[in-house]
Amino acid sequence: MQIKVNDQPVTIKSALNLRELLKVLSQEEKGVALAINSQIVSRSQWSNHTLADGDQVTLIKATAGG
Amino acid sequence: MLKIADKLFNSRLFTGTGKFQNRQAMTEAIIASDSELVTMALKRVDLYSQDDDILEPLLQQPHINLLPNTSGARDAKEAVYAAQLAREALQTNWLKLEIHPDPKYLLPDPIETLKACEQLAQQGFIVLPYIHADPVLCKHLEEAGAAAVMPLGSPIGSNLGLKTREFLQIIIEQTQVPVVVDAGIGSPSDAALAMELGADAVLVNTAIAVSPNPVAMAIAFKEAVSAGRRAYEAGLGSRSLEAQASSPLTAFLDDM
Repeated sequence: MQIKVNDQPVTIKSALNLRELLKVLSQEEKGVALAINSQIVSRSQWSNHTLADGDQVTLIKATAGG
Repeated sequence: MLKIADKLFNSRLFTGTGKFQNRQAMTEAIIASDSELVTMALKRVDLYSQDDDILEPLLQQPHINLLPNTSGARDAKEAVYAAQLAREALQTNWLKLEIHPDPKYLLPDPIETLKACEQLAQQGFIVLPYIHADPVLCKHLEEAGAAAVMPLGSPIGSNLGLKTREFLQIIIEQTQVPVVVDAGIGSPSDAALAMELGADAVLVNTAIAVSPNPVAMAIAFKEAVSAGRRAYEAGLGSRSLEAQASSPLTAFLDDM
């Protein structure tokens, strides 16, 4: 199954939920926000939200800034 | 003590996390500054590069509150989206709203900022909008639900100081919400001046981060902010072009 994460193509084996996706991508959960096809998915829903083929994932994290 | 929304601050120096040489320098300087409100930005994660986790050392400091910004947003729509992502990422309603479409001077767009402030305040955000030193805009933002206003001293990162001084004074006189002077503060004396004028707080990032000794500079800013505030509370004397004698002008020299 093919999805895009921040415009980068990513192949995943099965329909993962968002918590599993972060694990596969070796990304921390802390300080991170996720949107699927420009719809923000709140942290409490990450385990329930399953990815579909062709999904566009936006993965945002806190960084240095003023 | 300074109160913004429901939060009390001992320190009137707010800081940022940008431009430090590394995470350790950033953490040490922020801790030395005693700042209790620290800005952060958001970025898209690059899956193929690992970078410093700057969040963790800040989360370990219980007195530090995070203030995510919407830097990079070019209009109200993008800013609202960025704000919602920031709320998810950092689990805070606090937001430094910044919308600056022009990359050269990074001057804030007043119309889009007002639109976004209105929407975000309705969505429960504690909005601190970064704006030009425009007293009329400040009144509009206040009505739109801004928790504080953040007028600039001069362009972001320019270190030019308080080029907007007279307008900051009008804002301080007229605005009901706290006034945080943000951007352009290049030296502790700039920060002290802002506080002497009656600003409720200042936000300093670049001037601390680019100093060869960020910890010492953070302490210098902390002291300047506290001195400026104390002077404001004590009440400054009035100015005049003519001399006003501070010693009695006795005539004894004429007798020699």
